Amino acid sequence: MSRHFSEDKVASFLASQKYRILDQNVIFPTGEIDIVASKGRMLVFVEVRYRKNFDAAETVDLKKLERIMQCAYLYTGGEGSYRVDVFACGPKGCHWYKGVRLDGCCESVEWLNLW
Amino acid sequence: MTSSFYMLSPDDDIFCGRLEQQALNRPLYVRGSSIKPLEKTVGIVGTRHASSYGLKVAYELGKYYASEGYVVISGLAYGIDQKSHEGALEKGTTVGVLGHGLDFHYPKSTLPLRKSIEEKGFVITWYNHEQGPRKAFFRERNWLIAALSDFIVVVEAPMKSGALITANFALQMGKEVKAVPGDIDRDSSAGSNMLIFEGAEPVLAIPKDAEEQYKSCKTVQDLVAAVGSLVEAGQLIAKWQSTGRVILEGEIIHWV
Amino acid sequence: MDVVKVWSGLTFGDRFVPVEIQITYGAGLPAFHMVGMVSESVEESKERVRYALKSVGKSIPQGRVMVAFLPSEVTKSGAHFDLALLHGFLKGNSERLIVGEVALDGTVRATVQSLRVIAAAYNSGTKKFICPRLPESVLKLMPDGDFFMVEHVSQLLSGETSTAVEDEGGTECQGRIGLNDVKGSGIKRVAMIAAAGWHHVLLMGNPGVGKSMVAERMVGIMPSMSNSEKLDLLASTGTLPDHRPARFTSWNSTPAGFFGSAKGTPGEVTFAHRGVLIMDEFPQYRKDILEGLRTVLDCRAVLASYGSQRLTWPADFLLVATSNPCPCGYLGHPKKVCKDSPTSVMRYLGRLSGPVADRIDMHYWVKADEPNEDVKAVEERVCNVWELQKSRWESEGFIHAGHIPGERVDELVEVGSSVRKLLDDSVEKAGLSRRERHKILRLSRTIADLEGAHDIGINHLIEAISYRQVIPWLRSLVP
Repeated sequence: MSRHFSEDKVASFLASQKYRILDQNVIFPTGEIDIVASKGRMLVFVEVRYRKNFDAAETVDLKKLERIMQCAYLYTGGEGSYRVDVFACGPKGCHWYKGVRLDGCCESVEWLNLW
Repeated sequence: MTSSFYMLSPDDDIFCGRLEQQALNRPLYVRGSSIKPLEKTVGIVGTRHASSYGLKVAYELGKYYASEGYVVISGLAYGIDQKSHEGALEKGTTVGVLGHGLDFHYPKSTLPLRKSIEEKGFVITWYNHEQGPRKAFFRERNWLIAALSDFIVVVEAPMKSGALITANFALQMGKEVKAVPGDIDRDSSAGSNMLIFEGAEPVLAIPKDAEEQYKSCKTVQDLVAAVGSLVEAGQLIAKWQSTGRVILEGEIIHWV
Repeated sequence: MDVVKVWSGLTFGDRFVPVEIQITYGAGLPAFHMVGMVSESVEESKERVRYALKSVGKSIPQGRVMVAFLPSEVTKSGAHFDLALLHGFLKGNSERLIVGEVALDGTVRATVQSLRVIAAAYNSGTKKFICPRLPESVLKLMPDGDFFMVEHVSQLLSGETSTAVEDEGGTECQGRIGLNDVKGSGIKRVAMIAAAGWHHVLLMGNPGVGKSMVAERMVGIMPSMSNSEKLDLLASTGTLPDHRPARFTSWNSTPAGFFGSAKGTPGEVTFAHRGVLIMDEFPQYRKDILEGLRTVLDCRAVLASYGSQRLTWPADFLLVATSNPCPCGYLGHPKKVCKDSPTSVMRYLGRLSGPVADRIDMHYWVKADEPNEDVKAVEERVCNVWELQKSRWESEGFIHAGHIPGERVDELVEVGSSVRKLLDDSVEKAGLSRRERHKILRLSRTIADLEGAHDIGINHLIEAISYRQVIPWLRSLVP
């Protein structure tokens, strides 16, 4: 499966923000994680979504978040601190939801123009 | 039975002179809540062991005479006496004549009836209140029934019965005796049938409808005056209206 | 934190419950949450609001939208919260009460529920509204109301108000059929007395004598509905008939359909409020309906408990019941013979003289061959009695003789002392109950009023009593 261009754009953006990209497209029995990065001691699991016509964030539902959380658990073995970020991209730009929790709340939202 | 009673002399007003005529000087004992002069009276007598036909006729006759304003006199025994009292109580008042003192009651089965007679009419006897029943007293009671009544109706009576004795007393006093015809193969109506043979007037029908009686009423006020009760007058109007006999227009009654 | 507050409401029986809708936003993945006991029907308004916003080129703000309906203990249902939500998103706070359903293209419509909320809110003192276009006839009922009517969502932004929907003309006279085609002067008189004094009627008769037909014509001789009566009806049912309602019920109705369900749908008795409720074949009705009718007739309202809430439906109807005299129908027929067994007739009549029928003021035997004379100026006489009784008793809290409470009958219905004594004696002699006596007095008051008499006379009393003696007469016909 070819990787979507938005995932590469996000990875390079994260790298520019002093994040270390550890892995891309890691496949687990429960699903796939688009990007695994780290900053300091914090591991960041990133889900990238792209939709041409409407808000990509709406496609991230509870089921998807649960899968990401399970993958993160398998990746870390339950140790260390980590967070989940969602990049919801459209043709005009991208929302960066930082620290998304299972109920959909997050720590902050930023508007980025990556392309 | 401890409530009060009155002792009356035979020339008391309530008897309207009926006992005076017989030249008697015995006091009478009376108990009841409504002791009123006996203006029009009828004695209804008959056997205690009557057929269902006899009981029905006794009831209907009691009711009819009471509605006509008669006071029904009878002996508070069961059978015909009981039924004629009950029928009379439905439409008017009645008097029970006892063969014993006021503190006793015989026969037991008519005790509830006696209570209701004491409420709406009264009971009367010759005897002191402590005197129990005796066989001979009932003959005297029959005499009293005949004396108090303007005329006697024998509903159903066998050849040897108290009712025939009462009828005989009435004939001796010169009063009229009527009798209800009964089945010819029934022992309990042989006596009443024989009375008819001997010349008593047979009762051939019980007038049923009150309509004829009130046909002269032209207004509602007349009717109420004739019936005496608003509710009963209303009942009659409802019945006549429903059967299409009258049309009520304001207070005027139109007979159809 | 910014919270937008808008007002809407819902009805609980005929009671208005204001609902505050608070809208706030939070960071997070996009979501549209509603809290506060919202039912399926309110939940659906999310989608309507989303697309209606699109129709004016807007969208739901980015992020998590939280909508709270307060008080949160009452279940919210109905589609009338859409417009309030849209107002919250487009214009922010509002002091006005907002109701209305919104279609996907942004047009605003009035639902039955929104009409009920507007009427109930107006009754409880709210005067300012934002609402869909209302018919002129509805606006006429609420002269003090300040209505900002919107036909399309864009008007919320532009601030233009729409005009009322014009009524279709010519409906006023239709359906008001008087008693002209009814045959029989007695039955006409009964209909007139019942309509004049608000007395419930039980019409009995052999099959095919025209019992139900008279029942339908009863509304035609009553004065037309006043504005407050119409508003009550609108608040509880959401319907606004041109004339007094005449509800024809059938004997296989269920209690929920008849009395209304606790969840919020009114029943037949409420739809017949201030009109006529026709119960055809009265003894055939289910036992639970007949039993339930007792309290409804006494309270002139349906009382129900739903959870911890008590709920009241107004049900001040005039009951017109019809019945055959016996299962085969021919008891009391001038020619035909009743083929029923005495026990079955007695059982049938027993159902008619139970506690419910006891609460019916007038019983009347309808005959096929009644003489037919014209009763003149029926409507006018009925109207006069209404006005007379209203002026006499309005300060006491009721306007019809049929509504005089039992404990006040002796005080409010004056009868001359000699007539009263006669009545007391007769009632005592016949062993009538107190309720029976009160019914006679109420009824004779109306009859006297119809005759233009100041004092109740013996003839009025006799007529009133005769309307309560039909069942005893039928009983006497049974062998």
